[in-house]
Amino acid sequence: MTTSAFPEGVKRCSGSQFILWLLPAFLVLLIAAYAMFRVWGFGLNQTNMNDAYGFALWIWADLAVIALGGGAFFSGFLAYIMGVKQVKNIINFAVILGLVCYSMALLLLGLDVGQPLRGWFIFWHANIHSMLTEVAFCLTIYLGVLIVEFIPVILENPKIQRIRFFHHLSHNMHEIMAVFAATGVFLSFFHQGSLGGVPGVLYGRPFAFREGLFIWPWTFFLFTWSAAAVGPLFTASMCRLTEIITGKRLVKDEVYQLLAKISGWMLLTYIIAKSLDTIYWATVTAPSAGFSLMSFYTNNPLYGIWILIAEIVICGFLPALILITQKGRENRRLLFAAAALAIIGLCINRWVMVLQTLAAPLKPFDEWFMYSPAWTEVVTTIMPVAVGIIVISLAYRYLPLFPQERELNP
Amino acid sequence: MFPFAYEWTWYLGQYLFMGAAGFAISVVGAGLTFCIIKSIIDTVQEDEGSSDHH
Repeated sequence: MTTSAFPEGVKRCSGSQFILWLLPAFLVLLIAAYAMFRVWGFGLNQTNMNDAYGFALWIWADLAVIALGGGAFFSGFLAYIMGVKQVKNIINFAVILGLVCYSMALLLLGLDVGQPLRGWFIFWHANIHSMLTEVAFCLTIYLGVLIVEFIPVILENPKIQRIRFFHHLSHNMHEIMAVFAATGVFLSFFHQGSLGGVPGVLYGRPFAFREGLFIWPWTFFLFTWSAAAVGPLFTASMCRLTEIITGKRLVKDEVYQLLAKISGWMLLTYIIAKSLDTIYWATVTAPSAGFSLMSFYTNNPLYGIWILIAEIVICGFLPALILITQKGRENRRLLFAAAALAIIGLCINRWVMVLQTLAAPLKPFDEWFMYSPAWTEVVTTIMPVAVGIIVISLAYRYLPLFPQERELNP
Repeated sequence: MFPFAYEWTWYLGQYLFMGAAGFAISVVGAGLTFCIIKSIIDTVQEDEGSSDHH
């Protein structure tokens, strides 16, 4: 069906079909809202976090969604600063995806602080030597930037465009979008990096501690690099998923292939740097603290050496090599299989840097500290997926997200 | 965050951190303000143009 509220020249499903599609997502949201009520109402005793796990599932989810949402800043960098025109065909979608990821990350942090009424302390009484303070400032300001970047997309709805002021506003905002995009890149560089810096500066945790450059451990640069490499692949994968669900082609293959090529080279250089970092850590940094590499991978039920191989070889080198070859990129299935591997690799990286860091024993008489999340943590961690489905569905239905849609679906 | 908060100290690190944060907020705020003012001017000019035409 078509109405004047939909983007010009495109077809969308009926209202009842749309509501039916959104229903499961709203159900998950309802359960998550109940879990949030319990956590905020009764405190962090509703979770399985404890003295050993001050950081747990939520922080992993935060780090993962922020890195995956990095597609917004890197696509913005490519489109508005480097002038790569083809990326503009997917930039609106990248912004929405980034907005969902970042707003959900902040919501999970709001749960994780345990005392949300004191959440403003980190801004007001800022300890500027803390990586987490830098993360809080950059994340919050960058969320503001993403909202500003999203406003002109909303204003492009045909009904809103009829109001002349909004028509001019969306035009004028597009004109100076490079300024907002540059600010976003500046903020993202620092918060992605500082998220990596948090484990990297933990002197008392030899699994995570890294040496580095001036005040920044190597993990600072590796986190930014990996987010810039995998973020656009996540954007492309979610776009492809939207194509499969809607049964329409939304973006030309050349856009996917260009993103895959850029991400492939970024991923290859990242994984080489990550490998060098791992070798130096395993042969110099960890032994200097009295640990061997296998100290961190044996005598526990979860963290075998397989996790390191999975992260670096199977979900690192393999997808990077597929994506840098033209044949790999031209085969759509192979391209998205490689993208999925890269996304899994990034999630494994964030998992080990948060949770394996806390699980590994520090003293010879220590046992591995294992942790399994409570249902409240699991449901609230799934919540970003439900919110993503709702927001992206609404945006796809009412906003012109994909400039190539009309041409590809005559 | 501000000089009147008790933990504030006057030194380079504080200037750099808060300066960068303030700069980012100012750029976004100024950009947004510019767009809103220009849109108001554009709308008024368009209205005047269309009334002159009639």
